[in-house]
Amino acid sequence: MESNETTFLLQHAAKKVAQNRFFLAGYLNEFKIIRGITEEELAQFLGCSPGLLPKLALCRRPDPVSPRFRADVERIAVAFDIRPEHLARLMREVDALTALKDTRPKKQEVPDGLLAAARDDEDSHSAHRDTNEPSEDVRGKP
Amino acid sequence: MHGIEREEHARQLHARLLQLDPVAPAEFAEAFLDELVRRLRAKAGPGYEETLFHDAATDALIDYIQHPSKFNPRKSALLTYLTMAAYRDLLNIIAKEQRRRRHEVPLQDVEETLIAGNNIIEPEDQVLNGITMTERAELLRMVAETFPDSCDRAFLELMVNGERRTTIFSDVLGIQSSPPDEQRKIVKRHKDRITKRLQRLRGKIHGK
Repeated sequence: MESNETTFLLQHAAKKVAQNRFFLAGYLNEFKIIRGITEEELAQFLGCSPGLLPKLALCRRPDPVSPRFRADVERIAVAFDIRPEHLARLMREVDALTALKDTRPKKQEVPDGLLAAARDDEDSHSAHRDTNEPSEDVRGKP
Repeated sequence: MHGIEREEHARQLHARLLQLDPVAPAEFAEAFLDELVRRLRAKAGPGYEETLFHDAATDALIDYIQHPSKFNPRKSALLTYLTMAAYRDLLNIIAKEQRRRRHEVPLQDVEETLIAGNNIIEPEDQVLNGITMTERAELLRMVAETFPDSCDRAFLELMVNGERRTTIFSDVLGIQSSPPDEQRKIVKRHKDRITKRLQRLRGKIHGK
């Protein structure tokens, strides 16, 4: 059983790595923000007690593009007695939203007129892409 | 858990960290973080705030978990290695805090400075105030390049902060168990080496 000191230090460490993508902490944190939920609700989603969250946060983050991803998620799920499908869903949801944030243009930094012009330009580019893509495919074939 | 048992457990977790076991970091932190804080407290002695021990031990442990291959089991026991790393982090945190405090001017001093017509300016402040942010960034980059080793940087910080006690430098180098004469010689050798590098760095800066 964990002592009070250990519990406190695990919480301290989990807070320190909250933005560190090496650890699961970053995902747990992001997921709470995305869903607007509390620690208790996060624990409920994963099917564990809130007291386990700091230790869970210190697990190594399974790499979604690695062939080990499934095994790693299952390994964590077994160790913490949580639902593996929920952990995987949590990670995918965070990844999807992060990817969306990264690709979204930074609208607020551009004046309206320029933005409209850029949008027109972007539309015409994407139209070109749509028409070009098949022909590129065709060109690629022998 | 007894000493030998504890080291064996640490070795097993170290092997699992190297194998990228996703649960090993959490288990390592749970098993050894408070032990590390205890050892650090004993090594540093009284007079430090408890939060400093927590920060330094946690920083050292997080760094090790992310780079377990930095530890060489043939050189020392894992917990000894981590205690030394945490102690270095502790010295770094203290040096950083001292630097920050030196730049915090008490209100009374500000008034006195104003009365004196802003004539009391430390030479190093004069130099620092005269350089741009880009120059500062360039200088910091050059220092990091000249002293890539974190131990050298901790050593340099102590020198810059005017530390003169051999024992403090010995702690950074991990040679506290050597005879005092030997410690003095080694510390002097390191100081000379760092001073030479500093002189070369100075030459580079002036040459620019």
